[in-house]
Amino acid sequence: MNIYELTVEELYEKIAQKELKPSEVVGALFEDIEKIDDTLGSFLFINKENALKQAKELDELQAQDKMDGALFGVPMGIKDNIITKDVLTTCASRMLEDFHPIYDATVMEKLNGASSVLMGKNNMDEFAMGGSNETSYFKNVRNPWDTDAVPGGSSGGSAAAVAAGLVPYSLGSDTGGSVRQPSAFCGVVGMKPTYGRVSRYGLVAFASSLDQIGPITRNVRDNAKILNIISGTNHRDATSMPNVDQDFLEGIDADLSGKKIAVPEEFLGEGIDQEVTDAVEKAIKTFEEMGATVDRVSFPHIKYVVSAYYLIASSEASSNLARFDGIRYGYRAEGTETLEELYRKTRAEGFGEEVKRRILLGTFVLSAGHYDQYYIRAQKLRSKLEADMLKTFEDYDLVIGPTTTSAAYDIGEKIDDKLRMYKEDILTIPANLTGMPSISIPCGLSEKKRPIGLQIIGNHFEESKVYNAAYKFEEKYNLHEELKEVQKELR
Amino acid sequence: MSEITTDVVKHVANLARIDIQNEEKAQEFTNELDKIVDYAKQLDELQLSETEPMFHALDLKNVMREDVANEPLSQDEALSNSKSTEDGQFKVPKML
Repeated sequence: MNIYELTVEELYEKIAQKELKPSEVVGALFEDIEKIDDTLGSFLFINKENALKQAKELDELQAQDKMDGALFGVPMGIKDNIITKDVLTTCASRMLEDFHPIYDATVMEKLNGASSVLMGKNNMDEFAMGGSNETSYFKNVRNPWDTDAVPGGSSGGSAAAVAAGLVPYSLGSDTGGSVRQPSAFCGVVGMKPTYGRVSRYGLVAFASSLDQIGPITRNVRDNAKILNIISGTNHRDATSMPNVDQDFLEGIDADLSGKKIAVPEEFLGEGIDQEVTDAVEKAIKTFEEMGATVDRVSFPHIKYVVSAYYLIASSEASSNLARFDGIRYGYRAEGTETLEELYRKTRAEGFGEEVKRRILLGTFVLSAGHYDQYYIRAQKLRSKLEADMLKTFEDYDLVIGPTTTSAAYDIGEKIDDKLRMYKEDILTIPANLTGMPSISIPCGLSEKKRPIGLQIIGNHFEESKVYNAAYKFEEKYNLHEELKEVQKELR
Repeated sequence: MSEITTDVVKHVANLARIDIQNEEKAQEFTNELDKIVDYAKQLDELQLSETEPMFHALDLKNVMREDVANEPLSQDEALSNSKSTEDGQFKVPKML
């Protein structure tokens, strides 16, 4: 038995049955991390001392049959913009190079409470701004399927670590596709829940009206299990939705016959690689074979979503990132004589280029004379898009399409053309602008043997329908065996 | 062409309190932001005068919690990540 191949549920079961000790699991995965993560770069740093200590304590509880917690002894990776008490949290930025949070994010309280073991913090694009993990201040991440390829971003370290079998699950955050796109590129399962489903308390804010934390796993059931644990009404997040808690594993294997699925024609048209279109068309046939009806629909405002997203997200980011002033925490420039100079130099030296670009864009959009023209129009587009999608959900259970316009590309291939990279977020942005839940699951391999993702979007708070369709599809098509080959080869 | 010039970029950088290292860097930001803002002008094609802006995905209003007293952070914890403190306070350079 290879510990790195075991899923969340399998690890939990084997520990519960005392076939494995928590310290054996944790120890084996640290060995793997030390062996292969120099190549992958999926962790910014590992939490070895604490994790081994915790695992020993869990061993004792296991011996005494006191195994409390839905994730007893199961290791986790966590994206480095989710704050972890006393454990370095950098957002892959020089600005937070030595930041040790003084409290835990709500999701960390829940996962720690479930007796999961934190293995380390996953690499990411700086402050979650990027789609290829190339904006990390510290290092790039490589795709486990092909180390020349990007893992996607911004949760690229999380997706790569899960795909490589370094952890059975990780949490990412998704503002414009940052959980789903790297999950697609790395051949794993990534969910962006409905806005308001998971508390954002302790997630370093990028764009507060769009950000959601979501699980990345190797199969659909694990994903639903993790969302069960991290979701729920939380008074520390004023945008946490009350009275919507539910069990996402319930009914996950329900029959799909009679379900109605919509495919927006804009999701399979111009700008989408042929091999992606082909894989999604095949997936559509699979759903039809399972008894669902699939119709083509149109979302006429899709072509505007990239504009609206970058205007809104950058505006919110420029405001959120104003807190980094060199005074209370984070990087502080040396040798400044006035407070004003301290701000300017700290922010010039602490932030990377992509972060600055977005702060400048957002500040421009919100500045006098431009607010109505750009910001308000972008927010109006959001209404238009939501109206299109809500209308579709009157007649359909789900919307499906590709997660990304192409499979993973090579490191360095696109980084010089910012606008081109931004445009590639077109398929994932709609779920963020509308707050709707959306998952990415594998649906094919490209000619270069790089994974292709299928996106399934649901109406607000209908994650259960999304998981149900994803699970049934996964029974018919998955990359589990291929992924094991990838993991074996890396070792 | 959009209205992004190096002067606009410098003005915006001033508002955001970010020093731009040199003219070359200012030009680079100008070129990139110009492309992005120019692209975003596609929104002008749309008739949006009757549409309400959607600032948020949820229709939530005034979520209240119980008003109960909690332990606040200690002064030591609150100051623990600062690079410069004195007598239990954040220390900053002079304002003027």
